[in-house]
Amino acid sequence: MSLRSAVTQLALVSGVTLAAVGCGGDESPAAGPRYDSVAEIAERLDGVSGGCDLEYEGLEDGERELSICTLGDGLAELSVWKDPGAVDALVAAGGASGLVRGANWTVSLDDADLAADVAEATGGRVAG
Amino acid sequence: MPDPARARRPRRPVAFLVAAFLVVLAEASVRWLAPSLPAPPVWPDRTTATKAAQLDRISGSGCVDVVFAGNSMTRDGLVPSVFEDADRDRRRAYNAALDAASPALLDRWLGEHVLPATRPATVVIGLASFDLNSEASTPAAALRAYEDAPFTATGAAASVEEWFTRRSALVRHRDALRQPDAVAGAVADRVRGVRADRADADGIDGILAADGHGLSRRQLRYAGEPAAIERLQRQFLEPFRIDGRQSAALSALIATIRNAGATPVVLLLPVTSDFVDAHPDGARDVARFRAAVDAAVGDAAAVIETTVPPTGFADTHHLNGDGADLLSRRLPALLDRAGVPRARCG
Repeated sequence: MSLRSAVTQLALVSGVTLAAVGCGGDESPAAGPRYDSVAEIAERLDGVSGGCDLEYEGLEDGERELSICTLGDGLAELSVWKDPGAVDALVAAGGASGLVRGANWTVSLDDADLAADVAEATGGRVAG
Repeated sequence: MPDPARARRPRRPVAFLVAAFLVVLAEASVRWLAPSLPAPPVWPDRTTATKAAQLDRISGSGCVDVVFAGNSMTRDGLVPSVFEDADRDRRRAYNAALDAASPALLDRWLGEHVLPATRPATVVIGLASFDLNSEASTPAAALRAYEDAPFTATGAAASVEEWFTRRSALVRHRDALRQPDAVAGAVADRVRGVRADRADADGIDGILAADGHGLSRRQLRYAGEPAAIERLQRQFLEPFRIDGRQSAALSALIATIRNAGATPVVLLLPVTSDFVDAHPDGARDVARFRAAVDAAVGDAAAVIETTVPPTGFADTHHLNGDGADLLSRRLPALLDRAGVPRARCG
């Protein structure tokens, strides 16, 4: 096999693999985009009510990475869940209003009036 | 005929010298580049890094009379400048509280960093029920992060890593150096004279003041938001179990403070009625916490408490600006009534 042929095949395989597994920030039509860290979510919130300046870098508590920031008239809790199923469970449990979700993350807002803005900025959807 | 092994031998010192030269060259290059590289993750988070910078500044200028220690409730609830204005002796104060800091974390933070730098006469430890909850997930996560960071980890391997991290820019910035994009960006910034953000003793805009107190919740006002209660339960109260581990850590923390020559005082922080109700067993859990504090503290420290009206809260348990100023103004009198000596540091 010539070098050119090998490179062509490698590029083809890489392209197919990338298309199959996706990459950072990929979209899941059913549940919205995925994020790898709370910092990524916070960046998306730059334009929402003065922005989300995280009080601390993400803390890992076994189930998720989490952090908080002030957003609007209250706090926002940002979580990236290790098990995306935890997001469904949280939404199914109902409870608080002001919950925005994606495929593997949630933003819980004290100021529920901001939920639509947060959903628009993050590509997520209002879950409660 | 020459011995081939002997013929190769002189190359070893040359190879060693070349390797040493390359390491020195790399170290020098990274030192040149360092101001524009992202801040190395040597502390658990940027708040701790900022407080470490503030402690360095205090250490270089003397001492402070009163240190406030605790989690974010203490960070947001005690304002050094307001305390100083209300205190007839105008004792100087510093707020050393950290996010989600349990007694176990505080014992290390105070013993290894705060007390040596501040040499205070008095340490006020702010406490709430979840500080003694062995099941609270967020304080456990904060303790793990603290134990993993190069400048706060323990053990022989960690000491070696800290030694190299403090002395070698190559080691200190190794995470950034593994990212070609970060290096390329840093080179461009360095050439243009642009420096990356670093921990600054003046604080973090909108989050942390130069005297260590929290700024982010000062404008908020709690109105019973369900999300705040759910957050509290998830992070701190469910499940709720006081089994002696954090009580033992509280006893150890008080001993650490006394061994440093300071007077410890335990301040039971004001909370909302929603905070009490959010415990799995409501007020009975809070009563268990109070009994555990009394048992852990014994005669080794005074225990003081006060209340703040509902308008003084940013959420179920953090004070807003009004509440923090009120508590800080009251604190000198609370210390007096508890018989805490009005000693000065140094």
